Amino acid sequence: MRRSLIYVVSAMTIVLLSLIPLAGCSPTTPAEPTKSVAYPDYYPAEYEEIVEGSRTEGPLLVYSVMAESNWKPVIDAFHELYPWIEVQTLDLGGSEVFERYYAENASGAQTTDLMITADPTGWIEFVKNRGEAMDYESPENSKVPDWSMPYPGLYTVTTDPMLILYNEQVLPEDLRPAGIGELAEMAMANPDIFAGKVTTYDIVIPFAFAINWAFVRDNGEEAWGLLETLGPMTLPEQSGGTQLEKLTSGEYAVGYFVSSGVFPKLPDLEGIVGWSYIEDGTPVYLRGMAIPKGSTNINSAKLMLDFSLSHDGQLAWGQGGLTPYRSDLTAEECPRTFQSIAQEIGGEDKMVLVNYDENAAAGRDAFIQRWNEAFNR
Amino acid sequence: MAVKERAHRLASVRLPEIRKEHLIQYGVAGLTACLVLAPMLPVLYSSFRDRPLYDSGGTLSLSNYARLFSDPGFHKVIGNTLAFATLTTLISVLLGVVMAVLVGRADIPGRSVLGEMLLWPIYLSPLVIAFAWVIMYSPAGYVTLFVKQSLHVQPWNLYTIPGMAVVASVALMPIAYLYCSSSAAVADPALEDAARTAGAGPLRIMLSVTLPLMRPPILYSAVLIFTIGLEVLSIPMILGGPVGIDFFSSFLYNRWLGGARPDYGLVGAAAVVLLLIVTVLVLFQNRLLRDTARFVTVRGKATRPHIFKLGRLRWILFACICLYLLLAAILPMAGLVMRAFTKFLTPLVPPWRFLTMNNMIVIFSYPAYVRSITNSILIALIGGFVTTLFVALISLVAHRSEFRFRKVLDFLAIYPRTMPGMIVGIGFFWAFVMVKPLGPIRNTIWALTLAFGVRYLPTAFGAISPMLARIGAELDDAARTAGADWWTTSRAILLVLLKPALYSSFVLLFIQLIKEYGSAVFLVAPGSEVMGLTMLQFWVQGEAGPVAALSLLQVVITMVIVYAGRKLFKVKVYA
Amino acid sequence: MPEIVVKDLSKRFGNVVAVNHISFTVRDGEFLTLLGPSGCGKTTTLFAIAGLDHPDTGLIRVGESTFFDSSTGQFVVPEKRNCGMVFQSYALWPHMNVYENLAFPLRLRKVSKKARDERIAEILNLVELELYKDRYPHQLSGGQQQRVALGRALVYSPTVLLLDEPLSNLDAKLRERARSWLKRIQSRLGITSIYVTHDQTEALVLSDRIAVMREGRICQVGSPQDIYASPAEPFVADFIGTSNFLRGHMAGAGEDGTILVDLDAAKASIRINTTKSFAQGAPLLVSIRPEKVRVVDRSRDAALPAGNWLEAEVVDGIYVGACYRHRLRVDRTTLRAETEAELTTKRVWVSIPDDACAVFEADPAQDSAGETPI
Repeated sequence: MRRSLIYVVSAMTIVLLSLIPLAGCSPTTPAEPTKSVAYPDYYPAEYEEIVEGSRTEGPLLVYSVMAESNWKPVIDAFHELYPWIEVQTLDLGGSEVFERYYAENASGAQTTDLMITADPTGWIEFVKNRGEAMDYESPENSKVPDWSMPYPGLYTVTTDPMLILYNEQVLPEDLRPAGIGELAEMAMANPDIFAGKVTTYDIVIPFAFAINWAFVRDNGEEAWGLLETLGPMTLPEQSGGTQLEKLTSGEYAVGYFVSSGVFPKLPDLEGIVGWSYIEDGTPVYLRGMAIPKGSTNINSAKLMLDFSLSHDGQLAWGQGGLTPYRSDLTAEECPRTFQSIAQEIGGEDKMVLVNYDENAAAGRDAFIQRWNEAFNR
Repeated sequence: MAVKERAHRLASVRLPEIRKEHLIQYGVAGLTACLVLAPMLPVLYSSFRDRPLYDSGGTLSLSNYARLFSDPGFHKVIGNTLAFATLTTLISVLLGVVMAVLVGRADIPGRSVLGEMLLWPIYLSPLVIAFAWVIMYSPAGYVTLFVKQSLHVQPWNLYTIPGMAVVASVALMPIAYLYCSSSAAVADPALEDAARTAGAGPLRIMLSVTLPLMRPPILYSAVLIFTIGLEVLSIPMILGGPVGIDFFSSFLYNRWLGGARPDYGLVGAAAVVLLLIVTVLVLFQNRLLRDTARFVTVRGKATRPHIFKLGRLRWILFACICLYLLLAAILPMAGLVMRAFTKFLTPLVPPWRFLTMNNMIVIFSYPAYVRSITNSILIALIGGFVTTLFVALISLVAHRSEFRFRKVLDFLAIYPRTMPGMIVGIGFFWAFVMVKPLGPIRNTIWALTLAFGVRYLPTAFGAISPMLARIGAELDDAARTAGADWWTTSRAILLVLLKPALYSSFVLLFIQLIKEYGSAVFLVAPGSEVMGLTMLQFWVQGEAGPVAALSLLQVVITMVIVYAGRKLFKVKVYA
Repeated sequence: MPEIVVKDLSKRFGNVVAVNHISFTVRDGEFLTLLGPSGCGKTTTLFAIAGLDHPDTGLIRVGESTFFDSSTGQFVVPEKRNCGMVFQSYALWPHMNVYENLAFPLRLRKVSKKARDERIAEILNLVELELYKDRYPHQLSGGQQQRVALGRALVYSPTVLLLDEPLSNLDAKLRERARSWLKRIQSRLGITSIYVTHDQTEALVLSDRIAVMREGRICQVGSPQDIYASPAEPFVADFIGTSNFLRGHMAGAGEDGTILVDLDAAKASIRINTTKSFAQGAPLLVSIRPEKVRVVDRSRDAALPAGNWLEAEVVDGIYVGACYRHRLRVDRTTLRAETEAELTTKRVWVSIPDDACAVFEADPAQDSAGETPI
């Protein structure tokens, strides 16, 4: 008994010791850029100082709502320019990005250097009410539209549309809606097909609130009519995973305001799941980005922020599966951009820009109550 | 004579010197108090505060409690939650006990394999179980459609409280099963033989002797499962949320997410309410287990328990167990395996059209995901081991010593489970952030190991304490008179006799720690990723395939460890 | 070998007084038995001496060491008392074999392996279990386990030996053998011992002295012969062996150390020797052992010798191998008697020898022993 115990303990120790080095290490990067860096002429001359400053800084910590697959092309491209900057990303839920920062910053503990999330109300609180955003002027700010920079220091990384998704095996060709209005009509006419088989995001999710709010703001009372029609037939979900699974299996017939994160998978689902932009107003939500005042590796953060807004950076975000909005991206480089969507659905006014509406916070409770009533919650 | 009675304190007795046992006992109690209270205190404090802890200038009041109790949603969910938790507890414990007795003590064919398969649900995260059951048993699930097509009847509705209770019971039954079977394995056959000679058949013996003696593990598992039922989140969220059946946990989660800012105050108040409920439960449990001398079966006269012969019932019961395993373990697991290797899964299209290795490839192509696997294994191994030993110490101090504050330990040991995982995570996050010396371990896997270990303290306690109750106090007495002090007695006699329970505890802890995610949310940082959170991240993005693949990896790893451990220690968990 | 001194020991559990201020001394090398029915406090007392129980008040001293003294607050923990204890359930550690069970206390005392092996061999020899060194407790019979338990208690040469009903789990034949064997070992080693039992035969066989306990107090301490022949209380008379009890009243004292007792249940008086004195008319209880009662066939008209003769009728008799036990009706009461031969006639004379009775003051309200039960 004693002997076997010794074997076990030694075996475990060996296993543990071999695993420890793997835990918590990130890949090392080469020291010098692989691409020659030539900044566009609208960059200030002192930009080199920021680059130099970043060399002595520690790893760049980013709290974001993006996954590894979204970040990969961006980090790879970033490393071609700044290979000495180790980028550590943390994929958090929408409000956690803020909460974690507030808590860490308040107690002086080390916190994030850059924040990216899609939560308009949260950003308003962060930037306007608490003044926590560093007032940094990116050299790229002349190259992006004004609506993407609502407050000093707050920028936009990507603009992602929300879609209608339907199961093509459950819905015949004549019952595939292209808009919310059409969906409501079809659902009313064919309750046996649609009742209990429609899905959307639950309003408790912050960005779902933002989307619904913006949709109603742009379409007025008519939008409420549609929501109140669809409400009783809809089973709201809290995650995109469940939505997609149940749409694929046929448990749901159709989903609206579904995240465009599904785009990479749609080719495989040909014949089973179809999609459409929303003709009566495709919500486009903005992923905001800012450098918080509690940031320690400020130069690295600035470089990443500027890069994300640059041509190459926006292209990389597109490769990562999100929707860039910089106007100088060609169709060959990036087939789906804010501009290309606008073109496809017939103009920017067909988009519902989920932007930073300061009335949203005040009107929130009443809106949610009305939504809940409509959806029998 | 019960140890408790002999621990009568004498006010006039001066303790002349500080003995080693006092150091150990106070040390253990102090450390336990720190670990358990560390996440609880910030939460308690925030329940009285009108704004988050990170904002200065807050006022203290009971307004959060007022808001909680006057919230219309609150009342609606209390009924749902109690019904769900009660139903789940009843079904789980019943199933667990029946299986423990049948598979552990009766001559069912293929006992060892069956016993192994009964544990499958516990290898899966509740999130994954919910989603595996959706694949099989939802209105568009494979089995549901099969039954609908062949029997032309709407078989069941998964999205109801009983439906959810069944899913939760299947997921939690292994706890009751594991607790009860380590007890069943050490029954003194003389006690049962006495019943036989009095004319009792096997069933009678089981009901009158074996089962009542299993009261401690039955009660521990019932209290633990009920507590888990009160705070489990993923099953209500995935199965109940869409149809509007809300539970306390999802109610809290929505208040957390859905307000303009997370409502720390409300969540803190709710955590306190849960704490009080569980305190009452534990008081009740202690009352029922008061005279633990009744449950002593491991005495100085050691013997082997014998197997009940079931006669004609043997094959019928075997078939029943197989049916249960098919429905509860095999089919959902099959659904999971299918999903792990397909791009999509839909009963409308044959699965082989979508076969892919991509889900697995995705996981191994990103260093962060690979790290989450190695981190989780490390945390589960080290955390499981250390927590088991520490809890063994706590049990010894709480139930086999004359330590003055013994009773308090009983409560401390279960409190970590009263708070939903997320709140434990927030609590620890605050503890690490505010207590500066702990700063260096924040954002490392050691912070996670600590938080996870503390969160699953009650699981280990429930595996070890009942076993301790079955070891006769005269074994301690004999050691003391032979010259061994409390610590030597605990070490050389009790810990050794506890080995089966220690092993059960390690297995259970490993299983739980490797899939934990609730308390990790606020503690994870680049480099300290864990599998449970990675799965959640995939899930939120809509990537169910990698979730299934990762979950499958989790199951395989866990099974390997359990199997290897059993071979090495030659200790059987269930029979 | 030291003596054990217990003074004014008391212990209560909640409202129940388990041990009620008892005192006794066990002399060097003596075998003292604490005898009494269950609940009398004997086990609590034993555990208090071992240190497994904290008494409320009192003093416990073994030789020169004070184990417990409530006046100074001194309390020595059990592991430091060096007592040897044999438990009722033997309490052998199931995960250790016989050798390891015996080695455990020696290891604690840092005895070297060589010395340990020698000592264990010696003890195994003593308890006649040399061949069982490697067996585990569950592989031994009850009797063997009991011997291992005793061996373990003795292996480290304790100062005193404490035994808690160690034979109660053995069958009758084995118990008898174990009794004499135990006594042999104890006197050979000369170790001061306290033995706890409810079995009065055991107590009589094994002990140098017996302390009869009841409801937390000691009723009488004395040698087996003293206790048997001269019980101090009706309870003792009843608990040890069997006794007949006759109620009566003090009729008068005689000059020759005798008293006359008017019996309640029979229209007769008996004269008994006693050194006690009673008030005239005081209610009394006379106890007489069945084997001392003489029975004579009344049908034969032989002359009776002098003595206390009562008319009686035989109710029934049972054969117990060594003798016949009869119940005899004497007027309104019943006596038990033992005879070698079976009584064939119904009408007999019963004699109460005057020098074989114990007489006690009777408490009219309380009936400690009562009328002779059926």
